[in-house]
Amino acid sequence: MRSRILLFFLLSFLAFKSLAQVNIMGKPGYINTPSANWNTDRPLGITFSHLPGDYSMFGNEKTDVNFYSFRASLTSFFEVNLSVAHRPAKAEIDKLGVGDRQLDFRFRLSKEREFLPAIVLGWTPPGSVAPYLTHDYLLATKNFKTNLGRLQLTVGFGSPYVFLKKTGSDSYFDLEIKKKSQVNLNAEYLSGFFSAISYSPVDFAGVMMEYDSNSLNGGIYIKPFNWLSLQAHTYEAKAWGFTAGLNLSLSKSPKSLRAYEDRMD
Amino acid sequence: MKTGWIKILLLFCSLQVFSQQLEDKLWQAGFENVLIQEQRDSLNVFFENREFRNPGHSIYFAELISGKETEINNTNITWLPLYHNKLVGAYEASSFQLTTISQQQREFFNRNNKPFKNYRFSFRLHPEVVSRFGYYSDPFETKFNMILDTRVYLAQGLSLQTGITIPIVNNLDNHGMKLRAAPTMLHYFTQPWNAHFFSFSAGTFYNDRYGFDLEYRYDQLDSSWSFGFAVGLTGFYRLYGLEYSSEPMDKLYGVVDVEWRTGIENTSLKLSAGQFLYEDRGARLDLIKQFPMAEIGLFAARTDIGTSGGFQFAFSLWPGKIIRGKKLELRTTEEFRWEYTYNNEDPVARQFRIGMPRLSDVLRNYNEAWIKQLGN
Repeated sequence: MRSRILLFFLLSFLAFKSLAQVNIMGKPGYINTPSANWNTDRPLGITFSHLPGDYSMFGNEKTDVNFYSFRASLTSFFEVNLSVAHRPAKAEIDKLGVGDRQLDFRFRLSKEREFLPAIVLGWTPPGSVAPYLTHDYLLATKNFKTNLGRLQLTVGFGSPYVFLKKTGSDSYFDLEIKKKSQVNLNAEYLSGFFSAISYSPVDFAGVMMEYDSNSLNGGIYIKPFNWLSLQAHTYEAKAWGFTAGLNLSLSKSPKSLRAYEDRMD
Repeated sequence: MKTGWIKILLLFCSLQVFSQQLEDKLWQAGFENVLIQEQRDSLNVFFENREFRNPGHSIYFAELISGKETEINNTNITWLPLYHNKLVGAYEASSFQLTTISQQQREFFNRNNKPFKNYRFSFRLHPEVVSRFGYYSDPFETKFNMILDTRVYLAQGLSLQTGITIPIVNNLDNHGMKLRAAPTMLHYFTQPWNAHFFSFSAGTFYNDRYGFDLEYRYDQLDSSWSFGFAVGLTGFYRLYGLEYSSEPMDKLYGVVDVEWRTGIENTSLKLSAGQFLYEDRGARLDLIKQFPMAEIGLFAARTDIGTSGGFQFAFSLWPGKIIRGKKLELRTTEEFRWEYTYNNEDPVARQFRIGMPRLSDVLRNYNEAWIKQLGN
């Protein structure tokens, strides 16, 4: 019986539309966790996300964070992300100081196939003095299309180690490796196993649940347009956050050319 | 025998009518300097399109316009897009195959090209954005100006670019909010021999530089390799309304580069090395991806000053054409380019912008592989 159910799941695949949900840092994903989805048709992403202080990843200073993130899929297997974290309360106290920017890459090691999940490797280049947001991970995502909607599962592992640039050192390569839990930044984003599940009964909305290696989070998302995704989520049912993501296509022709083509039709 | 002659005569007449119609249609659609060279059973169509960033789009547009008009489908058309009033390449219609520009085509162009008369007065809106992210006190420090400028062709390949800068926001530096002259320069672009491109500029540039700049590039346009160099002697300047302040023109830069189209999803790798702005020696590696709507690049650089990385992107601003009359045009810029550097303290491997995109950025879009991609 069980194998039949499995077979039913496996045989009910359809072509997947581009799956545009993004996580707090603008990568394809859920709430905090990323997924192995790849937004091929919409290679440019611009995301805003608001995080409650208690779950802000900046372990030592629990103030609210606004993330402004940019994603560019340069090829079908290589993607770059940049996030700028703005902490309004921190800005009031410390008048100066370089802010927190996070640059990282995603590599798609394998595409999703009928029986195999998509596999993605995420890597943050080392070199930061305060790598709060560093995350290096390997993860797999599988979509199941059923008669009742789409189910998506992700399982991943994030490296519990982090490279630290030695303070005061001029050399970019003067690094030391430490366990995230032993660094006094008190930031352990994606350190260890994490997993997520989302369920979308319709194309434009769904619910999701994740364990991001630190906490259990849940949320809902809607996609009023193909280029816009909005989501609200809660961390352990204690605090709230939300994310809005624009996902844009870069393959359109110039406006006057398109207008001419439309007139021809 | 007699009917044969009549046929040829008819064909010739219809070709003439067709080319006159095509010329008018193209002009109305925003093309400029449209010149049509009629040959026995083929047409060479020269044109410049300043609205689109990608020549692939303008060639495809011209092809749509021509295709609609004609039943003479056995006429072979060759498209010769111009850049800054100069020939760049010749592309066969429908196949978009690159062909060598022939002596005949050059001569025809030289005879018929009218730098002033064949163009509209084209005014363009062009934002200028300088920003620094990451300081807590103000995470998005920005200087945002709107530039209204124009380029007037004075002679073949020689143009003058000038305009006004309208400051909108400035929480970055002490440049002030007074209206001032936009970067103003003389520019000469030429391809004296096929595949050898030169670009020379003198005047005031972007990024607060003034002086001289010379670029050379060897690019066969159907090859995946190209290389070039750029040299310049510049100094710092700033305009505060009508007041002018400047430092001596004594900063020399010289950079060589080689670029390779990887063949993987329209990406290119470019390695540059030499002395960058502020006498900063080192190397920079760029990964560039061409999308129809934009170009997105990533780079890493290591120089005397330090290490940096970042990205840049370039795209046409929406909507393109705003007003177009017979002799006048107002449009948004065909290319807005912006670079973000991760190292926001030291100017690592810094370059400055002249009035036109750098030669490698221009010619990348003329590559046969890319033109073919956009045409299909």
